[in-house]
Amino acid sequence: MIQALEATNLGKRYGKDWALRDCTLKLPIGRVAGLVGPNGAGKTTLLHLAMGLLEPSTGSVQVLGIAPRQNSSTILPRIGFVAQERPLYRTFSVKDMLTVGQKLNPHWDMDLALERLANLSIPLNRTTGKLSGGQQAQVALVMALAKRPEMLILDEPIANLDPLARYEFQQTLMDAVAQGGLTVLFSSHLIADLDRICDYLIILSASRVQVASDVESLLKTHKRLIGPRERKASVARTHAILQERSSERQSNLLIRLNGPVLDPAWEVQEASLEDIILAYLALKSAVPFSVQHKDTQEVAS
Amino acid sequence: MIWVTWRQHRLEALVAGIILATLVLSLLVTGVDMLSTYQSTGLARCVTPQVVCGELEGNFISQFSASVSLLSIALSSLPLLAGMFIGAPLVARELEQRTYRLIWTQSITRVRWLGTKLLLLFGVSLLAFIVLTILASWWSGPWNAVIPWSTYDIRGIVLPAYALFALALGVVAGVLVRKSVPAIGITIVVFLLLRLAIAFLLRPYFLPPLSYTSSVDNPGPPLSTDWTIHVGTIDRYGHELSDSQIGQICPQLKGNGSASAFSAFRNCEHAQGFHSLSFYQPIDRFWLFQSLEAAIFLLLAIALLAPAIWLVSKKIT
Repeated sequence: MIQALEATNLGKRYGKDWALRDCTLKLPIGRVAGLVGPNGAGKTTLLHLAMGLLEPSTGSVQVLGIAPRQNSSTILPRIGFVAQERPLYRTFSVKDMLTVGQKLNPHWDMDLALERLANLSIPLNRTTGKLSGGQQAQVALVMALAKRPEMLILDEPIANLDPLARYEFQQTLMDAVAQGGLTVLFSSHLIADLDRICDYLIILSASRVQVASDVESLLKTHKRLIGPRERKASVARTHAILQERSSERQSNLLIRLNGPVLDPAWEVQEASLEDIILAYLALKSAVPFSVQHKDTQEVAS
Repeated sequence: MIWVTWRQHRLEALVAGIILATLVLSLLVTGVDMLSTYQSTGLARCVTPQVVCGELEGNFISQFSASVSLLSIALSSLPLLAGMFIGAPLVARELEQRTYRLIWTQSITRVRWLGTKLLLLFGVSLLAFIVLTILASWWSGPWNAVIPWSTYDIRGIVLPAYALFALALGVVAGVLVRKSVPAIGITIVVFLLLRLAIAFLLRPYFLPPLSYTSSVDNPGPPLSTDWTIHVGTIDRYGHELSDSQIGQICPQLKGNGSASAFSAFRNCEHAQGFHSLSFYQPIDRFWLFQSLEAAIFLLLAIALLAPAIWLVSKKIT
């Protein structure tokens, strides 16, 4: 089956340093996926590899079943991309930017672009350098959407925006998703925002993929356990402990389930998505067996 | 992509247009002036060297040397300006402002993006330089009838070739250092080094210079229409002498510039069997030299552009 994004042992190295390493993941078509990870985890590298802006050092990446670097003319019309810091030509007016999009994209939908910008009351004749950060982000997003893409890739699109601008940006994005048929992959630092719009989550940390799973099964397979500290070892035998907070007697564990928790000494609580993400981000190395979409589905069922 | 290129470079186009218009106007005004002086003084009718012609030539040169050298400097600096302000930022600005992430992710391949920009910007620049060089060739016509090699750099086919080379140099510098200002710096240094090295070290020897031995009183040919590369004094065995050697053998001129001292010095030179030896490039090699030099710069431009295109399409980022 064709995946929206499929990476196999994907790696990118600059000299001796790996920006991304052994990245293997699948993102099914039709999902809205959040890509999280600490700074320097390789999020931008992964997205640039997916856009064909970078050439892999190892492994391969396919977007909508196509290797982007070799087939840029086939794949580029099908993906909308908003790069980090949302670059626009600063001396161009908003209208000029739209004309750029129109001239360079075969499926460009000018009506859609004009309508969305009108809804956001962004003046067409203002130069993009004079727009607010939120407006620049909106223009960049509208440009990506007016390509009429099958997939949207956004690199930290809401970083450095004030809460209202963030909200409005997400609103535009969710409107587009609601129209159907759009896969979205976006990276973000803002975990709380992910909760609202993602149904799929990819966690990159320590230059590796820690999680690539849909949110629902992630919540099903991750629990918080509270119980006697001396019985921690028995939990660790079956389940993966991601995070541990212990007092003298009591342990508070965030675990990834590997079957049911049978010991009644442990109190099982729901873990929030934010808890789970933070636990993975804090990891210094890969969890022994990484969570891939398929595995988590099996465990959940 | 044509529209995008125009939109991105319309400011440069405006500035270039103003510079071009100013130059065209200056060339027309001084050109008409020079031509009418050339004809009205009778210089145009001087075919064979005559004393009166020498005088006319001298007057003509001193009358127009200021405007000719000023416009020559302006014309010969234009290729470098094109390299600095069109070539160097072409890719570098996109890289340093990160807009490559925007433009290279539209539905157009990098090769087509760069190819269109290069074709348009190089094409328009080439056209402008062809117009300039044609006009400069007409403008310098009367001057060229007197001392043709002095305007070698600003007329004929070399000027557009310099421009294409400077543009290509700017582009490749921008691709390599990825920042406009350092790329402009590299363009200036490399362009001047190469341009001057070829003009002063290579051009005089594109073909072995002709030599002419004559009496010390009457050195010539070369004529004013030839390009004199070197004039020296040789002794009766054909060895070239330095000024201090001559001064030792014939010391009459030492500390004394009077006419009698000079004639005594000349007598000494004759007695020693000294001769004047000139090396020069004759005027009939002018277009051969122009073709050679234009070919060198065009080849250099291609040699620079090919890796620049390859780097942008495959390597950069």
